[in-house]
Amino acid sequence: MRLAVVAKVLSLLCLLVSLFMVFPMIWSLADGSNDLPALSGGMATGLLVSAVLFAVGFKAKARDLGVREAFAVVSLSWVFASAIGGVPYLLNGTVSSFTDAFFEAMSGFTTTGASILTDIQSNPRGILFWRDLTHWLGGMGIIVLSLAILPFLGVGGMQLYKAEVPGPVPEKITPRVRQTALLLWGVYVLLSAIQVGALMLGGMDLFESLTHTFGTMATGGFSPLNGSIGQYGNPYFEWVITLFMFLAGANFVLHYLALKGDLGAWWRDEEFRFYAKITVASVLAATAVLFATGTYGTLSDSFRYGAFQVVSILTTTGYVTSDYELWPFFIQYLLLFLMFVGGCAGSTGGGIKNMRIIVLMKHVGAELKRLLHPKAIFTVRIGGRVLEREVISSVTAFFVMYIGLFSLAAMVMAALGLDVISAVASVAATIGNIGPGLGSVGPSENYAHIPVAGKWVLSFCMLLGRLEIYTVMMLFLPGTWRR
Amino acid sequence: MPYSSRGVKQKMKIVIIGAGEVGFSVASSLSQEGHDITIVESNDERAAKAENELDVMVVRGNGSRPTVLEQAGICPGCDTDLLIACSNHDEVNIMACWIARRAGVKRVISRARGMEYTDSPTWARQLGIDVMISPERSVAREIEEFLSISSAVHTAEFFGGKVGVYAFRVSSGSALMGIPLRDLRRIHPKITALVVFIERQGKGFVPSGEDRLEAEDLCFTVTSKSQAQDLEELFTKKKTPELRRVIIIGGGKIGYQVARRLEIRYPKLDIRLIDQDREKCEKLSRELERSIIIHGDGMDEELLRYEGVDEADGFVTTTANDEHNLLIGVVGKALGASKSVAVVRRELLMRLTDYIAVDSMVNPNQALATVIMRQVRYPFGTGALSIIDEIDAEVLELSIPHGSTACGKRIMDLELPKGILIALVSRNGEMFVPWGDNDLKENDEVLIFASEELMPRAVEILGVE
Repeated sequence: MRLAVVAKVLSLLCLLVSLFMVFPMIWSLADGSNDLPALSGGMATGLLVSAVLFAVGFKAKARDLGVREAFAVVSLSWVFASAIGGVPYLLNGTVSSFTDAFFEAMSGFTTTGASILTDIQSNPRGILFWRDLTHWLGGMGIIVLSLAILPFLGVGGMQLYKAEVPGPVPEKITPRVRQTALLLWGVYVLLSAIQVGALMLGGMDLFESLTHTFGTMATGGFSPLNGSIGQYGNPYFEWVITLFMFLAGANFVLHYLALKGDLGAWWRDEEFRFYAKITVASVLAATAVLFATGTYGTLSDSFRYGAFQVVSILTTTGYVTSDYELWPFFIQYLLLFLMFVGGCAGSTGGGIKNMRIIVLMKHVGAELKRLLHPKAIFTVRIGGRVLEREVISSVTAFFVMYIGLFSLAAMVMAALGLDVISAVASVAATIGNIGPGLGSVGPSENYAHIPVAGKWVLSFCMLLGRLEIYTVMMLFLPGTWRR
Repeated sequence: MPYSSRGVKQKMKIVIIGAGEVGFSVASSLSQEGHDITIVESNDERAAKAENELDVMVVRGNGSRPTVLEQAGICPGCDTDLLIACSNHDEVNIMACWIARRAGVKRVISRARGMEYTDSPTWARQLGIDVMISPERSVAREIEEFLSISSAVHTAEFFGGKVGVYAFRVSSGSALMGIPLRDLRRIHPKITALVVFIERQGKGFVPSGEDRLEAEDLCFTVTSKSQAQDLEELFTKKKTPELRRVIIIGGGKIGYQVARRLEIRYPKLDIRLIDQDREKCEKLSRELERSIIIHGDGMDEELLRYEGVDEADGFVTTTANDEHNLLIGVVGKALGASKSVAVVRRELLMRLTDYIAVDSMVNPNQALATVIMRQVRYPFGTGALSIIDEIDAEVLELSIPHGSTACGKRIMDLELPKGILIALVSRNGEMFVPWGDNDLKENDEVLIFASEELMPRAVEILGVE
């Protein structure tokens, strides 16, 4: 491990994150609110950290960036970003400890949306803007962003890209990784702009349109309102957000192709079809149950609330329009189940990802067929493309690690005193980057009451989920650190 | 052999690249017909074999090298009429064709092993090659057709693959018995078919409209593929049952092609392909989406039984070894497969049809040789010539050229000798069996049925040069 180059790249990423604090400052200045010092303090801390790291890695050259360094850079950059990003919350007095500040920032960058804030609306708009901006930056990825705007990372860039972009086989849609990163960010910005427009068209003000768009497109879930989207009670907003959550949970490469005019790209993609089918089936099930049990009096209300919540949880966004803990147990379980499925590869969503679920299902199917034909040789295909055995085994290992780490973390949470449902749901909701869970971390509660150790465990879970386990776990292999 | 407008046979100078099985058999038959053959072959053993057994000139060397081709008589200003590239390497074949074209050789024919080249005629055209043919593909088509309909004898690509020649045996209960052939069309106006040859009690004849069908007649019928099954039911009172399971032994090019064609044609068919080579199996399982690829020995009785040979509707043997194919074919049949087809490359074995219990044998070399032969004999044919060995007859697809004397004439006025039939006419994409009082028009595609001796006369009457 060449620590110098790691430090150098990290210093640039810290610089980038710090500079983005300019945007919340604009709101702060416009409002003349009292959070300007906190934001400036945050930025100053970030610049200082960046300077120190740069001094350490001054002599390193970008081409020293190998696979191991890339893993370290990516994992550590998210940790550093969260540490720096939490400083404004701490300085403003929004939270009372560094643990809480780190948790809130990590929850932001990893697009989880689990909050420890009880009275969100009492915070100045600068802080709230920053809170949602962390979603938006983390959604498409800090690294992908830096690849897009920092030219020097070119060569080692693909390593970084692979370590951050979700999905079993990251696709490069152009020969140069920088172009790919630019295009993905371009699509991301464009879709975000459309959503902001759509929300403002319905009468939402610019600030709330922006913050809610950040939360939607990044499948994050932070809202500047105490009552999340449900506070509006406006079906138009809910349907716009439902649509964009669904888009954000799909592969952005497909959106890129569609924007280029190839509208068939969506339906041709096997993962997208699977994702759409799961969405439709779950929405129908939820609607039917909500209506049949009389939870909502009308079919249209059942559909409206059912669809929003299913899409919100499946895409790992975590916005809420109603307290689903009051819903029938079947739907609560359905939502918990969907937390594990998550979005598509190459989306901003978390979870295990539809692609991996398909791979696993096909792999299981092939294994069963092998019992029927012991001498047969089977190949697993997705969308006509053959899946290499290495990919299948890596996906299987991912699934094992995901479930394993989930079980372990839930056990730790239970040991810290959470009841079983809350322990299970809090880990499922953080490792899957969703946010609200069930029990004491349900939609009407928050994460403030979790013990300090628990907050660190859950922060770690968020990082694991966002970087898809391997990248983070690499840091725990002794071999990564040897020269 | 091409016939000039005066009907005189011409001697051609032909260069053949590659003296493998295909090259050798093509060279042998063309040489016997009196053409001057030069073979280019890099392998000493094969070159020596050709030198010793055939009356041809052999040039040793790589057929894709200009200097080697020059020795064989391909250079600017040469008088070589035809180049046939049938080596095992597409690159060599294509390169040789290209060099020959540049040197002014009139016709170039290439064998293609890569399946993509024969997927559409575009490739050949763009590469400047007159015809690209894949023997594996032709033979796979034959096998597919045989499995689909028991009566299939020949399924060349007439009218773009839509038409074939089928042999139906009239069963005693058939409604067609005793009916004059001309009435067949009146009774069943929807069916586009013509009986071109009848084999009755060991003797064959070309029927006229007055002839009546008798039980046990074997009727060679030209018809469209889509109607073949209905026609089969009409003649024999039974339909080939829907295919449910096909077992293929051997995953070479032919085995792969057969599986792929069956996958496309029958979306629900259960296809099992068995091969001994593990690596080949891995490759096949990547290329074939629905077939089950099994790594094992085709002669392993346990395995065959386990994979349900007794319920297989088709059993196809396509390994590289003729004897294995025949033997495994018999084994499959003995274990209960209802129909078996074996790929056989040697002439001698092909003649054993009556002694070996496989239902059909197909020969890829013959398929290729047939295509090449018809290109040499009838270079003007737009599509296909098919030689039906069983009855020593030929089927040829022609286009009526501009200025032909046959244009505008009624078919009965053409005074075609007995034994020549115009089986089908395709005009502006529509296909029909012509009556005697139908006119022929310019650009009509016609399918002619005649014996080998009469075919040149038919070509002459239709004004094709």
